[in-house]
Amino acid sequence: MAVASAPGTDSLAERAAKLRIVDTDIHHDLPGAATLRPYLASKWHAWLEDGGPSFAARGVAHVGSGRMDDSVNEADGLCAGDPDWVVEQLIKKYRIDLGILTGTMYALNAQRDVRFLTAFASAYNDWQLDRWVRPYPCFKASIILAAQDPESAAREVHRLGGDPGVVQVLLPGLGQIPFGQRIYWPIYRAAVEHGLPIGVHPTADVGNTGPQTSVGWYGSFLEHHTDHSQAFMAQTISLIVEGVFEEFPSLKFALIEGGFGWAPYVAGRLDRIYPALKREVPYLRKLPSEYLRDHFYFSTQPIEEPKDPRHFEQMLRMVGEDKILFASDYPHWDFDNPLTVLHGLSPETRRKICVDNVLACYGERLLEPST
Amino acid sequence: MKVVDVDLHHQIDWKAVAPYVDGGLRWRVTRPGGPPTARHGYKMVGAPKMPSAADPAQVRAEYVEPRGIDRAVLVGNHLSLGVQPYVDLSAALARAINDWTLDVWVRPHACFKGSILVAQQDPIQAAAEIDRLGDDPGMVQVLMCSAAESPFGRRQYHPIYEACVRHGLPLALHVGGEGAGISNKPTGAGHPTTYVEWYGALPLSYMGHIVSMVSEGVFQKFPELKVVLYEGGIGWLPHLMWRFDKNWKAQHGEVPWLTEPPSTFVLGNFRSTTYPLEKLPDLEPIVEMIQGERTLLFGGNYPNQEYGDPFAMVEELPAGVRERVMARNALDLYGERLLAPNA
Repeated sequence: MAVASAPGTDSLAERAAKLRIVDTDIHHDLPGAATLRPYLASKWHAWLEDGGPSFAARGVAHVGSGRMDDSVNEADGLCAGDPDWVVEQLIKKYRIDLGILTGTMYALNAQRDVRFLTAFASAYNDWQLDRWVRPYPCFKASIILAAQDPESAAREVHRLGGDPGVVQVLLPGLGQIPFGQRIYWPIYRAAVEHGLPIGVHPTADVGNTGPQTSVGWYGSFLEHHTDHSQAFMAQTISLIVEGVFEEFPSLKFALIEGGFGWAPYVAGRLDRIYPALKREVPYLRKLPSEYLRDHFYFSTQPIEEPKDPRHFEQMLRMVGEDKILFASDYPHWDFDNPLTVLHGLSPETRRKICVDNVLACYGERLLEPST
Repeated sequence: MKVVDVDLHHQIDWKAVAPYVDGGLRWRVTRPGGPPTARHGYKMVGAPKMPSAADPAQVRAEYVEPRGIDRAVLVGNHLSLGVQPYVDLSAALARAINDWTLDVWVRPHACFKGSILVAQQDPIQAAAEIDRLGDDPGMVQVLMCSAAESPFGRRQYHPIYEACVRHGLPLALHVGGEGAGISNKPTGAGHPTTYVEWYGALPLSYMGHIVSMVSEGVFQKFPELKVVLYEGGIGWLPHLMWRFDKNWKAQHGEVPWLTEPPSTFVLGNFRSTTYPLEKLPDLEPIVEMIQGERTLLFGGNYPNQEYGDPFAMVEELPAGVRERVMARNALDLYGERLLAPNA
């Protein structure tokens, strides 16, 4: 299997050169909240009884199960509850060297009781390091947070930010207010201190947040999933315009599963209006498109599929082929097969998307041993 | 016919509009400052000052004639009427603004065409207003704000679309009321803090409405309906079509009435105006992806031209596309009405 599983004596550069595919979006399952019992103080155990915590959930659902039914493990009924199973079903089968775990808890900051959720996030983070990352060199973790309490969330980033098993801080697509606003800055400050990028994954349009759209609630899963990118666009505009990157010049965002074809819009719209309106935002020192170029990466899945493949390559060039990260979204219904999904691109471009760009975004931690 | 400008913001004069207000609500309009109006609270700061568009003769003399504009479609400057809390007042204001626009701007000036403004809080009254004025030769489209209580695919709005189709009128949507009154938050992420952010995110409303209208089967029900998206740019359309089509392939069982890929309707039923186009090193691929030679309409956005001259902006389009954008596409969309005498 994976290069990273046998670090041996290779230098980081040698190990990087041997990588073929890094997958930036693997959804490992928590097999029941009770799994976290050993990681939670006893005062929270009541939450794990009577069937576990009740989280707000959206009322629209996929056609089908929402996952790759051919990857279900009969032992636990899950596609990604057992790391050995995922090694077989994903890592080996699709020749992936390294995978970044994104879990299934990205909507915590839309949920209700922030005290419990903060404890839950810490327990989850400890569990994934113990169960998935330390024993399996092919997996790296994302720190999940209850970001509606940014001070506690920043403490969690500090608690684990130096751990070699974690490579990013993960936020959902939505909070109660846009991500550029200062309330979130303690999280960004902590991430920067530990050299971690912020991953953003859809979505959290349940519970405490509103709908992803600016016009109200959708009426189907088709709309829900298509609307994800609207939340991402809004967050991107907020992060740029609020001056987050003047305050944190080394901060990077990896936008996962929100598409990338909208990036030229954000760059072009803001650059068009900036000369006339810049006196409102005197703290900005660069063109909006420059912040977008310097601080954002975009994952591929669900890869955009125009009828004319030429359009895909044109869009890739406009966004910048050094800004795109491969992601499979295993084991979800719209999984992108890494061996086929980029087949139309040149080997050099595929290499960038599957390896070089991922290393540029996540840095050397990705190659270091997790223990 | 060389230039049709589909986007001219004539300024509403409440004193002049007041006599047209019916239903015992005229008193609301005669107070200083006009009727109570919910505002979003975002304001341009430090932008270049622009002229006013309060006097039709002056707008002709200072803009329409010197720029060689053959027809200008008026869209007014009340861009949040459809999200104001007073439902009946909003409907009465729509009727009054429409009558005043016809009397003062359209009938005396052959170069101007009107939009039937409607207040979508009450779709039944909105449809009645479309029926009242839908055959007036001075009116070429229906206009409502994109700021919304609910996405526009929802059934409650269908009487408006039915009335548009009944009179062969396109439906214009205009951004600007986002965050005001009874509308949703201006973005799904929450309330922006600055005008820059708010303005940058405005077309997210169009994305939400397109996804909703196509998914809910509006264009299966009203195949002739055309929707014009004002001032929203074009750069987000390719992504929207591609993501939407891909999701539809797997999820169409949810919307069995949607028998064609969503992009068919995005390209077939929607049009976009040119002010402001995105400022990009190369706009041409995007124009090609959205079939801009068919789907783009020249909009001047007079008098709000803070982001540059609209004629200079369309110079950034490929020449062959620009030619059609300046007049042909508007003629195809609005048809004979654009040429007919106004009275």
